[in-house]
Amino acid sequence: MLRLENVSKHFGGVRALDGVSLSLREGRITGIIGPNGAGKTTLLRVMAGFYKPTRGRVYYRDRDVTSLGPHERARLGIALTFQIPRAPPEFTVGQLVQAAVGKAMYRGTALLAERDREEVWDRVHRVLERVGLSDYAEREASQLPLGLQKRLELARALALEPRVLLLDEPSAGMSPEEARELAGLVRDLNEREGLTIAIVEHNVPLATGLSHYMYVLHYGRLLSEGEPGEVLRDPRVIEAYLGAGYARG
Amino acid sequence: MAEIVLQVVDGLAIGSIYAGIALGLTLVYGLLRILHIAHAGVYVVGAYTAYMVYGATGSPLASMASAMASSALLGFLINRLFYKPLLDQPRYVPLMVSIALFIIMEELVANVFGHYPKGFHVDFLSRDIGLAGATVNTRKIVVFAIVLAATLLTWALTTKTRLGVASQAAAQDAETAMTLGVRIPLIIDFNFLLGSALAGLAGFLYGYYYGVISPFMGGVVAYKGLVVIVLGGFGSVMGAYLGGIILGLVEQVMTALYPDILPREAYAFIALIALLLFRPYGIFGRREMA
Amino acid sequence: MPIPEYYITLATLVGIYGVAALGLNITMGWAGQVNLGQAGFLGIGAMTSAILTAKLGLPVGLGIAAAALSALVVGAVMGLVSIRLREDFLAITTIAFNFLVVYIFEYYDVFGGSYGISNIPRPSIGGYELRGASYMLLTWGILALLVLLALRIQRSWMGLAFNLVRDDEQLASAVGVDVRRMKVLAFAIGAMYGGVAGALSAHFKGYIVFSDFEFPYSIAILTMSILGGLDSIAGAILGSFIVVVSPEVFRPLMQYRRVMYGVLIVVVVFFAPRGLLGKNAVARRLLERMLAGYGLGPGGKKKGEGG
Ligand SMILES: Nc1ncnc2c1ncn2[C@@H]1O[C@H](COP(=O)(O)OP(=O)(O)OP(=O)(O)O)[C@@H](O)[C@H]1O
Ligand SMILES: [Mg+2]
Repeated sequence: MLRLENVSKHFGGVRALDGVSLSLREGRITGIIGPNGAGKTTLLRVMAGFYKPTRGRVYYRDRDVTSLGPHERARLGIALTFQIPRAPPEFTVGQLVQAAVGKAMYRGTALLAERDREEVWDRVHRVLERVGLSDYAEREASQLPLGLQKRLELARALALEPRVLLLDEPSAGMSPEEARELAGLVRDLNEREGLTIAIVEHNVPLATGLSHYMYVLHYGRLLSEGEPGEVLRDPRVIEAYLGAGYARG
Repeated sequence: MAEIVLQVVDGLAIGSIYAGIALGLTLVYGLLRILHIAHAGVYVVGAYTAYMVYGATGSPLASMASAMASSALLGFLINRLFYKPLLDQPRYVPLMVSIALFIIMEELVANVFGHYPKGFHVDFLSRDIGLAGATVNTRKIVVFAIVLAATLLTWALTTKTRLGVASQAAAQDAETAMTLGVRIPLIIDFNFLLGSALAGLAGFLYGYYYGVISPFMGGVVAYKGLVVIVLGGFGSVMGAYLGGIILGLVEQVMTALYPDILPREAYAFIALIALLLFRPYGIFGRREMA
Repeated sequence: MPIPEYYITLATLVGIYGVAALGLNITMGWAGQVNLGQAGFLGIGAMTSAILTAKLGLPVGLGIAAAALSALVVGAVMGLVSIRLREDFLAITTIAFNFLVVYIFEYYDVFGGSYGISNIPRPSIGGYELRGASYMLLTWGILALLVLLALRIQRSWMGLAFNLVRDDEQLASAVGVDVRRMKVLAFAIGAMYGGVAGALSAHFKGYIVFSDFEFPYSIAILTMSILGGLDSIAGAILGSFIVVVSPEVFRPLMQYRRVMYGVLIVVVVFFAPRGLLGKNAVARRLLERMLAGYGLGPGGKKKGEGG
């Protein structure tokens, strides 16, 4: 569905990604884990078009989308949630979701179409209900606690009606209870609506519980991949996470 | 040959005055990121202070020193009273205030001293000498030498003293510098005092060089100064100096060669637009990471 | 009893500068793109229309349309430049643009050089020449049309896209907004308003010269926008009114008029950096409370509004 071929991304001297090839299988949940600074966010951003890879190519449904900008990929159905939620002051939760509902309207004459229309707001409310933010539509987004802002990220991504959903640490800032709810929602989106999902998580149990397939990143390279069970037994992964001593002992 | 020498000497002298102004701007910009248009007002006030003190004392040195002192004080006050309270506002807010202050200073000077230019003849090293076949007035060389000396001094102050080094660090990354114990407000005051004194010096030198000053002598220079600091890379002392000198030379030569294409004041802005199209981050600037 | 000529002149100027300030609101207030050279766009519009009508004898209506178009095109180019620049560079570049435009007007005879262009015709309808009150009505009619267009933009997807670009470009592109295109559009539309204002002023005065479009006029227009509130349509017109009328109020202080103007800017920016009618501005809240008292408050059902 979405495939990276030998992708590198360098920031000055930092090699955030170094020759990574992987693919998100259609209709599957793919987990991506790795220690801090492994390059997970960079990976998702390369997929969504926010970073141009230094080397390598990105394919979406066998089409080379490397040169497409993030807005074009959003329109094609690739939706990203940001690790650090984006909620500029003075926007309400509803308005931010509305902005995504309008994804097809930002070109040509549609640009001048009235945006506060009933069917638009119906869609906004449906999406908000889905993520449990119904009561917050008129609240200023930047004033919400992190957990709710994370849900807003998800709502905004869903409002794009994507085919591929890229989630960057969706459970950060959530209580265990909320995280469980979130996991249920993600599974639901995958099973009932057939969304292809990539999920980056620090919460490893959550990621392994959801994923059909997993990749482990370390220092910008792929360290391991496979079914969640296999990956967790891989000594290199254990070493990367817990240090060399633990792996031997 | 003589013609070339003349043009180059004039270009260097005028460029030196631009450099004097740009040095102060760049010191302010590096720290506060404010486009300090009012700096040109400080420059005008410096020139008129020099004029008054010279009239009273007849001493070139006292005239120059008083210009630097009054400008330093004025710049310092502008920062304390107007910029400091506005640092959290969108960037165009202090910019607007700066432009308004410039208008106010210009108009006050015009109302107090009259709208017309005033003759200001400083009797100091003003002789014609032969230089490579051309006749050159020594004032031009003095202007060049004084600004060069002031630039080297500024450069030394900002790279060799503790305060200067701290200031450079703060310009790079204010937060880190602060956690390392750098007292940012002190440095800002220091930069305003130093930079404004340089504007006062430039004001004095303008009068000395042209023999005349006017309330509106800061008009275009206010904006050219900004162009110079872009050319030189924001925040860099040597860059501002070279930017000023280069602009002076380019203006002089282009106007001499092609007097009918555009007025001399236009070249600064053309250079800017050309530069930004090809190097949108400045000559020495680097692309900033998101 | 006829209204004195003097008031008609003021009202016409308020309308003309209202158009210019409204354009700046769109570029700067809505889309967040700094433009310190709006007077340059007025100049482009004024010169276009003056050349077409005074020199080539085309009808005024065509002149004004061409003015809008030429400013729109130059604005789009400026927008393309703006894509590459960060905020400060853009500010300086727009200043440079204003200076350059004026130098070109001054140096080239097509634009009348330092003598300017005179005998610019007034528009006429069916042989009746519009001047005085009728020209004022034309100005306000065009202002009204452009207010309607601004309202349309504000309520459309374009308005939302502009705001997103202003506040968070990454967020904007995440929802499918082409950030660059929006910047170019915002610049072009704002410049187009400037061009129309310039043409209106040319046909109003009958004579224009390069110095009518110097940088200080850009600052005056920006002052109007900020004064009224950069994000407010009504604010642009209020700001235009205040800036046009205040020199008249300060007339007794004659020689200190420009000083007072500077003081006005400082005071406004210090005490109402978001303008009189901007979001959350004091005057706006007062006004809304008053209107609400009469049952006329903005009953926006989807606006998360508390008090
Ligand atoms: N915009 C950037 N500019 C410079 N360096 C960057 C940038 N983004 C990421 N990096 C660097 O690239 C490396 C990978 O960063 P990335 O954010 O992708 O890691 P991550 O796996 O998402 O980490 P975390 O678990 O902390 O979110 C890090 O060393 C980081 O400092
Ligand atoms: Mg990350």
